[in-house]
Amino acid sequence: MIKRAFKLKNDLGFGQHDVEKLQGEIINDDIFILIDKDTNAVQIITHINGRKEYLVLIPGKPSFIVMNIDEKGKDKFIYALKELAKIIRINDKAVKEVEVILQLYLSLEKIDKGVLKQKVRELIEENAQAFQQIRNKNLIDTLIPFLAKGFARAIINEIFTPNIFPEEVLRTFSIEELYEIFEEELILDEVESYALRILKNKLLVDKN
Amino acid sequence: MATALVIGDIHDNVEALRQIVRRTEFDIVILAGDICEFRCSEFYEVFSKLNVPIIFVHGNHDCLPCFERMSQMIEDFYVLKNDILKLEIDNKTLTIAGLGGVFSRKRRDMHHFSPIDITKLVNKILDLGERIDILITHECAKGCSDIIPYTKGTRGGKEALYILHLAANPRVHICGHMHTPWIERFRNCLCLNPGYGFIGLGALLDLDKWTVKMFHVKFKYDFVKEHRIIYTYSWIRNVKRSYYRILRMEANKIGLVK
Repeated sequence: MIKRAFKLKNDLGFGQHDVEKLQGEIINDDIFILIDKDTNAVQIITHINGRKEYLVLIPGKPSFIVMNIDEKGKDKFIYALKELAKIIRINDKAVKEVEVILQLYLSLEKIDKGVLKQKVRELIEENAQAFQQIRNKNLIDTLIPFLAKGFARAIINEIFTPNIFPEEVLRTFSIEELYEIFEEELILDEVESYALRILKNKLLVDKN
Repeated sequence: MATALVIGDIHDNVEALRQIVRRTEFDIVILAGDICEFRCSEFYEVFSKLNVPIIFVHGNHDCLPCFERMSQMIEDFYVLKNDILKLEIDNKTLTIAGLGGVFSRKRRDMHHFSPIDITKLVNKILDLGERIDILITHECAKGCSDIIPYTKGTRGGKEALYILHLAANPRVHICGHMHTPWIERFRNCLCLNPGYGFIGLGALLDLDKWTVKMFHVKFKYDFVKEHRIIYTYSWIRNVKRSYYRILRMEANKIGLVK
């Protein structure tokens, strides 16, 4: 669960007048609404397994959302969003877009780190021979961190296929936009350190 | 007589920019940072119609990838991240140096410069071996038009920029960031802070006599609403990873036909 922000293509459409209506409004026992008076942002908050999850709707031109949600909380937020739309006017298109972004966000979360590690291992195995030709240990030492980063990013190409996204997501975002989101938002730190370990084993231990 | 329009800290208020360029006469535009973050397509529309050289130095609230794209698409649009530029205006060559961002000892992202970046620019200036006509930074040097607003003259500039001053020995040092319009002499140099462009403040710099005329273009606008929009951006800036992605995606939209 990582905090992420998205810019909306459609404006949320609500303003100060609408937000004032929300004072003290509660969706249900689990879902709370907080209002930020400085920005008119509406924060939908819930707790899942004792952990706080939230979706912030930030109106304006352009509008944004910030979220920190996991799969279990998704339905709650979609429900809250629909309930909210009954109380204040929110642009229908923006509501749909938020739902699509929720799916996109969760599809990023779903990608299994185990699969990523497996892919990076395969990629290194395929290419290790070329790097083993470098005889200079100091040079290898310098190169390894960059190689680890490079290999970790290279697997984005391997796993990025439009099939991993629901159809609604594909209808809202172009493939280029999805790739960019994928490239920037996929957390590869763990995969990178894994690649670093394998590379060290492959290139440095063999040399010693 | 060549005149430079100097503006900074517009903070995404494209209407302020429209009004300023409509009501002033100039031969060159100098932008001192914090111009636009999330509405760059609208700014591109204005800049692309100006037909004069535009020199831009980024601040800590700018979409730098957007301006880099603008420099590719608009003729005579120069982005000075940490560079020197020689520009001919009215048969006169101006040497302009620019350093974008705000000072940080540790952070080196697109919105910050470190002592290393200052040293790089100082070396470039020393290699050039000439006096710099105009030095543009978003951050102010201490004592150089760096009055913090709503204080009794408290200075908020950075001493780290002194070395740049010494090396460049500029005729005019233009800075922004503080939002307080201010002109003063500092070490044989005219320091100019054009002030808060968001509300229509700016300056006209005479490039022959090196004199400055400050102005305040007044226009009807819902400033409360616009300020609210600026505050909303702080929500996004706090999500660093997404923030940079959104900025890069904004840049890809620049110049696309609507």
